[in-house]
Order: sequence, then structure tokens, then C-alpha cells
Amino acid sequence: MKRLLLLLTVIFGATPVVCRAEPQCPWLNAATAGGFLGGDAQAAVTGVTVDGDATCEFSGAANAMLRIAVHTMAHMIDEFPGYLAQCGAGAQALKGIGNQAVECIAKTGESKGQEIIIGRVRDRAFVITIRAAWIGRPPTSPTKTSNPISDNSENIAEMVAGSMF
Amino acid sequence: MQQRPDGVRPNTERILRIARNSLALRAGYSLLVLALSIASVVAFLPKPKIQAHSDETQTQQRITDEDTARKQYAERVAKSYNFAFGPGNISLPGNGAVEGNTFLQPDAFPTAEYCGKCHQEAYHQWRQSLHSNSFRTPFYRTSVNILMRTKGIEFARHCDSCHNPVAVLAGGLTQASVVDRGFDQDGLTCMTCHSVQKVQSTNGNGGYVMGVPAVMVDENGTRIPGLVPDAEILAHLDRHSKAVMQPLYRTPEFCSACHKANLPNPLNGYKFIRAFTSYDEWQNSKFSQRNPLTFYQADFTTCQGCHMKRAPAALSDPGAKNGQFASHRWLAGNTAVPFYYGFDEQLAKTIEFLKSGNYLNVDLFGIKRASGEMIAPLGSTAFDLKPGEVIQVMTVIQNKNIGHSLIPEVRDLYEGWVEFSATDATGKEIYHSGFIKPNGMLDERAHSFTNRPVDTTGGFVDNHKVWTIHSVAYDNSIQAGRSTLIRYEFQIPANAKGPISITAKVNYRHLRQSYLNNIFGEDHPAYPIVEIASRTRALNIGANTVTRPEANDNADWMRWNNLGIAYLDQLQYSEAIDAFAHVVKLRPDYADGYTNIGLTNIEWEKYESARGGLEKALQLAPNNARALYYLALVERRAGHSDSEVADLEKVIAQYPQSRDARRELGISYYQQRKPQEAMEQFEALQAIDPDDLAAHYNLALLYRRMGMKDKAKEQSAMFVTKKVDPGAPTYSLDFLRKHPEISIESVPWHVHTNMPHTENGEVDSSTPKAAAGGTQ
Repeated sequence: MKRLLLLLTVIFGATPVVCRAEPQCPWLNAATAGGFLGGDAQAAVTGVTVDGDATCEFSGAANAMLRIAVHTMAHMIDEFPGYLAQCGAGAQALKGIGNQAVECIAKTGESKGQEIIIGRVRDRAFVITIRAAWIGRPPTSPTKTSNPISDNSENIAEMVAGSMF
Repeated sequence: MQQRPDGVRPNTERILRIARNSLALRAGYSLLVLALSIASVVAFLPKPKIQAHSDETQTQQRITDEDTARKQYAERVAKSYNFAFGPGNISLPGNGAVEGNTFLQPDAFPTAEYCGKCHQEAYHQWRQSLHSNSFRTPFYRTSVNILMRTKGIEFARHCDSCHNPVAVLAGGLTQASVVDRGFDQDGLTCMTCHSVQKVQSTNGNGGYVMGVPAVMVDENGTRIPGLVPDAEILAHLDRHSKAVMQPLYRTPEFCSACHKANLPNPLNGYKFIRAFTSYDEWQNSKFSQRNPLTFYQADFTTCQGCHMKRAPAALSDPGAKNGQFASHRWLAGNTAVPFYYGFDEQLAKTIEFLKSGNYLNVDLFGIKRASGEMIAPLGSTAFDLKPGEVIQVMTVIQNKNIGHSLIPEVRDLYEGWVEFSATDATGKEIYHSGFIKPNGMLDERAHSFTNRPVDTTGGFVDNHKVWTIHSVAYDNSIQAGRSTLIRYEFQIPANAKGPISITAKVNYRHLRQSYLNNIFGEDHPAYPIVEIASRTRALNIGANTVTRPEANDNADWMRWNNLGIAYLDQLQYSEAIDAFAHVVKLRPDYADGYTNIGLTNIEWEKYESARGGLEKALQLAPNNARALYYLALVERRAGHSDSEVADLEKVIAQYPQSRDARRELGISYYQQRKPQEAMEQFEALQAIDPDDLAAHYNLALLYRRMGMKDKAKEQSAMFVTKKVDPGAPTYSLDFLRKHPEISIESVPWHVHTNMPHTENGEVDSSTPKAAAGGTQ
């Protein structure tokens, strides 16, 4: 019996503890998100699908937040206008981000002050929601692009779209 | 004692007091002058040691601080870094290296905005250039993402050693990276280029050695890492300049660090494959003045000489000299990036650069009748043309003034081709090759200056998945200074209204439509197509007289010469000699014309026939290195070993960096059993071209004989990995068999035609409308 117990101890004792690494955000790492949000960012990745779709949410200091939601559209032509409509009439077209992209800043409601960038890379839509102190700042490098959004917002959107190509 | 009157006494005292004061003032003044004089002398004396000591201490402190910060950073990154290609190796399969040989924190690189505060013109230009956008564009990300997804992010170090050196050196290319990639959007930022301290060799793949970025040196020339206040830079511009500018930056070798690439075994798990060699192409061009074998000569021009031309600076920049600033746009062929980002200024300047008319010559050289009769050169020859006649238009494209091939570098993605059209007087199309189809794809039968890399399935490597390349089905690029001949055959309709207008254009699109479709899907806007050069001629039905040449036309002797070069490259030696014979007839004083006849005979393995032309060339131009080189080959064949060596030594005396002469002289010495001398030549050759197979092979043998076993082993291994896999061409053949519509392009000379293919007089309408050889 003792031998059996010893054997079981050896077998189960030697079995490695199953470690499951936190899923990584496929489009932006936490260090980069933290750089934008101003400090260490806590990352959470949810809703991962077999298509590789997911939602990443990074939380930073002072209520700063960055959320990236990516969804593969079965019928891009039919579905994507619905995404764009989320920005409403205040949408500003952005150049050089994915196949196409728009930006808007919520003026009312719970999401007031949040910046939203919606776009697509081929048949995958992305919605980036940002809450940070620098939202709404004008670009500092007008020769980089003609986009009327802050450098940080543009860089985040570009990085996300770039990773999706 | 005589008493002074009351009224006088005070006056005297006042006078005495004034006098005393005056003396004191003078003395004081003199002392002040003396002190100032001493001070001014001291000011111009060398600074006391205590000051230097203070500077040194401050610099040392900065270096120590930087070292400490770097060490801590490197330790943190190393904990989770995937050292897949050997312990401590941070950049393989790329070659990027950094002083200190460990990770460098990204914020060690001052940002472009920091530099741009003073260097406004440089910043403005750089921001729209390919260098600043080397990483972020979808055109790059698409292929590198595929690499990361299929093989792993660590393999991307190969590409990012050049496209994003900060990411590689910071240790960002690993699973679960802890690196803040905020720098990605700046690609090759100012301080990546301006921190390079040397190049390892001219092997490319990021063959630089990066220093820890510094914008200042101290008074002893020691680099001070990190940022310094603007005022300090402005007070010591010379020290700033020493930190960020080096003579190396003005050399082509600097560019070779990235404008030369190979696919090494760690990347493809197969073997070394040379990918592109813009640096070597330049070195072999007339612009390097290092190669005696070029067909034409030119002034020495570096890469920077064409791609960083000085132009008036519109914005303030202390780097401008007399108001002229070396372009940081690096204008070349990429219209896709400025088009995508809406950089209108960069796009306009790129198109202007491509269309400047300096680079190519398009020559509608001649017409070949069905009988074989050649009418040439067009414009200088009168002839008749009949309705219903089948003609071949002999079109010669000369890579006249590009310091590298047309198309250079990743020619599986770039698209340069000839669009040829023939229309009658009513505008009715008689023949059209090289058109764009409604879906944006190029006519498959166009003559394209491209290549076709293939994988082990015989499939085209369509998405720049370079790690899958095993062979190249064909490569139709035109090397610098050379020409190609393209034959367009069509029938003039019996009822055609003359004159017939024939036009050949060289078009360029960045990038190939199928690659754009891979990136964006098929719903992207049409990317710009730029006409780089073109030529039109009118052909009358009936009599055609001699016409005046246009401003950009080459002289007739050069037209024949280019035809001869094209024939030579298409292995048509008899026709080449005939063309060169026309050259010397028109220019009997032109030594190179005779050399061309000689070298064609050598290629044809008619060595003794070559001698006459070469000796004639040397009569006209004694000591001509090009003629001497070819004559040496003739002497070798004749067994005149001493003459062979003497000729090659004369060539090397004039062109010490001639890789061909070094190689041949090495062989000559080897055959003369002079191993030491042979070794010296092969080592010199390897210093010029680290990939030369003859150098690897012969050095392996020579080192072994000299007892240098380790070096012999190394050379032997390099020979084995760099030698073309003899089995690889089978993949090319697979590809060509699967693609009859373009397989004709792999034949050195072929005809583009809209005529039905005939064999033994029988029309075969099922075959593609192109024909190889034979129809001439």
C-alpha cells in the first residue's frame, strides 16, 4: 500500500502543473498599450474565436482605457456599413489606416469623450475605443498624414490595422 | 612758518586731494587694464586640466548611467527572449549588430521629432520617405505578418534588421514581447542611420554595427549617449556633427548594409539564396568606376548621388550647405506608399524622378520582314512597307543611366514592363502587348522586367514569402548599362490606313496587381502606373524616307552597339558580331567596338577569332583595361601564361576593385602553382564580394594545402551553402510547364506576336500567341 501511495505520489507529483498563459492580444502588446495610456496597462482578452477574432481591453492609470474589437465579416459589403454607422454624422474619414477607417468622438451619453476608430482590413472589421487624456489633441506632425486626429490615436489605429494585414 | 591765507589753504588742499584722487584713479585704471589684459590672455590659453577632467567625468558618468540602464533593460528582455538561433544572438536570421552586443532600450534612440526641431527640412522630407515608413505600411506588414504567423515572430528579425532595426535591437521580436513598440511608426528614424558606426561587410541583411545613439561627443571625441539640451548642441555644433555624421554615410557601402539581401539557411531551412544585390549591381556599373568591363563609362556616382541629390531647402535646416540640402526623400520607384498615405508631394516628386528621362532609352530600332531582311536603324534608312505584310519590330531598351538593374531589388513585387502598340491612321488597334486588363492585371504576355521565384511545388511565390523560394524560373531584368531586344510581330492589315503608328513604352507599377489584391482584397483603388520612357514612330504604307532623330535618341553607332549588347545577352553571337561590326564601321575610332567583337567571340568560344578585335582595340587605346582583360583570357587559352598574368596585373593596377580581374588573376596564379599569390587575389576578391563562389572554392583548396584547416573548412562550407542547388531548376521547369502563357519569357530570345503559331506551315490556333526562337 505504501508502495502504491509512493508510486501515485511520484506519478502525480511529477506531472507538471498545467499552466495556461494569459492570452496575448494579437494586435497590440500590453507594453505598447501602456506606453499610450501612460503607465502599466492591465490587459484582458475575451471572446476569442476560431477565426482569430477577439476583444482586447487595456486599462491604464487615471481611468484610461483602450479596447480593440475585431470581427470577421461573412458579408463585408453588407455588414461594414453597419459598423461605420456607429460613428454617425460626425465621422471623419482617415487615410492610411487599413482598407478604410473613420474616427469619431462621442459627444453624449456614457461614452462621452471616448474616441472611436472604426475600420477594416479586407473582410475584418475593427472597432477601437480609446479613453485617454490626449483625446482630441491635434496632430503634431501634419506631414505624416493629413488625418485630423491625435498622433497617439492614429498610431494605435495604424498598429492594429497593420497587425491585421 | 608762513601761514597760508585762509582762502588759499582749502584750495590747495582741494587741489592736493584731487591730485591724490587722480593718482589713485590712474593706478586703479591701470590695474583694471592689467587685470583685463591678463584675463584676455588667459582666456585664449588652453583650458586648464580641471575643466577637461570635469567634462570627462560628466561623459563617463553619462556612459555609466547608460550602461546601467541598458544592462537592466537587457536582463529584463533576455528573461523571456526567444534565442532561437543561438544563445546571445539577438538578430539572426538578420545580420543587425549593436555595440555592446546586447539589447538596447528603444528610448536610447532620440525621436525624429527631437531632431526635427532644428532639422526641419530633413524631418519634413523624411516623414514622407520610404525610410520613415519602412515598417508600418500594409505593403510590408502583409508579407512579414505571414512570416510571423507561419514560422514565428523570431524569423521576422531577418526582415526587420533593415525594416525596423530598433525593434530587433530592443528585443521586441519575440513571443510575449515586453517591449513598447511605440517606435514602430517611425521605421528607420533619424538616429538609426545616424548611429551606425560601421558596416560588418557588404553582405547586407542589416550588415551594420549600430552604436549607442549619441547626439554629441565630448571635447575628446567620446560619444555621449542620450539626449542633451538644445542649447548644448547649438553651443557645440562641431561636436554634434561629429556624433551624428561620418564619412561612411556618404559611401555606397553604407547603403549595402540593407540594399543587399540574402535568404540564409536559418530563415528558409534550406540554403543560402542571394535575394537582391543593388550594391553589387552598382559596383558592376559604370558609375562605380571599379569595373573595367562596362560597355560605357561615366563619372563616379554613388547611391547617394542619385537618391540624395542636393536641392534648395524650403525649410530651415542647419544641415543645408549654401541653402542646398541632401534629399532625405530618397526618391526612387515607390509610388505605392505615398499613394496610400496621401503624401502628394512625395508622390509627385517620385513620378518626376521616374520620368526624368535620364534612365532608359527606348529605341524602335528596326523592322524585320518575314523574308529575314532587316531594315535598320529606323529613321536612318529608307524603305517600303506593303499592306498585308508581316513585320517584326525590333525594340531595344537600354538601361542607360540607372546604377543598378531594371527592376532592382524585390522584382517579384515590382512591375516594370513594355507596352507596345501599333495603330492605323484611324486609331484602330492592330497590335497591343503589355496592356492592363479590366481587373487591373497586366497582360500575361507582356515583356516584363521581372523574375519568377518558385517554391518546391513549382508554384509562383506570390506573396513575397521569400523563405519558400527554392528557384527562379527566369529573370528578365536588365543590368546596369546593358540592353535588351524585344521582338513584336504583327501583320499589317491589307486594308490598313497609313501611317501605322508604333509606340513602345516602359511602364512601372509599384506594386504588382496580384500582390495589391493579396494585401487589400480586390476592391482597392488602382495604383499609379508611371510611363518612364517611350518612343513612337510612324510607318508609312508605301515609301518611308529618312527622318530626323529626336532629342533623346542615341546616335546610330550607339543604337547598333545596344543591339549588339542585347544580342550578346540573348546568346545570339553571330548577330551580335554583325551589330558590333556596324559600330566600328560608323565609329572606327571607338576601341570598345572592337573589344565588343572580341568578347562576343570569347563568349562564343572562338578564342583565336577574338584576338584580332582585342589587339585592334589596344592599338587605338593602349593599356585599355577592358581589352587587356579579354585578351588575357585569349592568352590563357593559347597557353601564354605569362602574357595572361601580365595583362591581368595591368588591369588590376588600373582597377584594384575589379572582381573579375581578381578572380581571373587568382586562377592564373593557381594554374602557375603560385599558391600564395593566388590566395592573395582570392582574398582580395572576397573583400570585394563576400559571396564569390570561385573565391570560396579556391580558398578552401589553397588553405587546406597551406595547412590552414579551420579556414579551409569555413570556405568549403560557404561554397557548399552558396552554390546553386543543382536540383532546384526542376522546380522552375515545373512552374514553366504549368504556365505556358508566360513560359516563353524564360527563353533568352523570343517573339511577342498576335499571329497564330505555325509549325511546319501548319497553323495551331490552340497554342499561345508567342514563339520562341525559330521564327526569325
